[in-house]
Amino acid sequence: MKQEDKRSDSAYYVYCVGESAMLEPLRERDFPPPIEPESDPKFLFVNGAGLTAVASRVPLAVYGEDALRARLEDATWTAVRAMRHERVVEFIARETSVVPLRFGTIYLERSNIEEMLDDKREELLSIIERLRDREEWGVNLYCDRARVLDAIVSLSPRLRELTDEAERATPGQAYLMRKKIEAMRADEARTEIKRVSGEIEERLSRLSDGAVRLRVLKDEASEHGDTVAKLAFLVARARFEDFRAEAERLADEHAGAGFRLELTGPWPAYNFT
Amino acid sequence: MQLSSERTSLITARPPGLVDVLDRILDKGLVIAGDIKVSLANVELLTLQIRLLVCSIDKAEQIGLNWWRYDTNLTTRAERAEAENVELRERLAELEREVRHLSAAPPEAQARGRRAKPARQRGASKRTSKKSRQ
Repeated sequence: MKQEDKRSDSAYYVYCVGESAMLEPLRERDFPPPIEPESDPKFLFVNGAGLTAVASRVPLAVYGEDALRARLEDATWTAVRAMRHERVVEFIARETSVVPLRFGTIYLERSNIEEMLDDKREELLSIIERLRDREEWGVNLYCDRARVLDAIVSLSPRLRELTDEAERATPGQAYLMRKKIEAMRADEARTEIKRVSGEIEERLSRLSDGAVRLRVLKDEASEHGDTVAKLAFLVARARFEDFRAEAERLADEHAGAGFRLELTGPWPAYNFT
Repeated sequence: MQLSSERTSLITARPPGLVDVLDRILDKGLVIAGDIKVSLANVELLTLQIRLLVCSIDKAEQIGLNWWRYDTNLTTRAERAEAENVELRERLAELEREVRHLSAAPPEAQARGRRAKPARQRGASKRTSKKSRQ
């Protein structure tokens, strides 16, 4: 142990923090690979104030401030490390409630981690308590814009009326009317998308202990269509079946109008720290 | 509605996709200032870059390059995929050589056999056009 601390060519990458009593039994388990499996495959359990931080060693040549900044710009490099970070935290979170740390929490000395655990004890314990027996579930909402637009025309009497009128109008008038119809449809589609995501958030919130809206990047497309909303819910394990059933109902109710719902998880509670 | 044939419309992603992972771990999770300052200020840009990458991976997935989703040891699997790629390319080259060899050898019968359909069609259309002219 002491020897470890003297190696100044490496640093400590910290994944998450949990209660020592709960993490101790995991020591002997087969963990997924650490963030740098080649440089040091071992996991370290750093204890302090009844809490344990799970860490592994990383070479400073790569994880030092300047080196890391350069590496992070390489999207492939970062994506692979992000995946590894996530797998480790997910593995532990399945067993006990832990505070997931943000990607890239790195210490130079083991004693600095111990100090941090001591300093932040209250905050960490209160988060652990809040997360106990709960998991984060993600709900992504996608839409097929063309189908949403179609559904809107059949739903809106005003739009149907206009469409009929356009068919009887002179070519010049019809052109202008069609322009107007297009704008109205796009408007109503936006309203409809907002309404649907609002409804999903509200109904699933009732079955959870927290709800967060994640950022959706502009023009974020996926294999299921445009991404229109990403939500995260903190769900008690005991209530998950109800939560899931409600998500299924919502998916069925909105499938006809071009919406798709995707459930992801369980996640470590990244969005509820 | 008829949509009941789809049974359940809920998609469950297990294991989660890379985009969902990045959404969480790159700018979520408890922030504790460690000894190394990690500037994820450019997270937006980084995330965008990675989205582009994922986009091409999603395409790659259709041809079986989906290792990052299912394996625990990403590097190992990537290397394995790479090795598999090399092997496949070699086998493809071998097959191509064989095809070339075959089509070069007893030309008449084989070549005609392979082009049987279009040849007959062309012949047929010629005949009919002749007939119609008559």
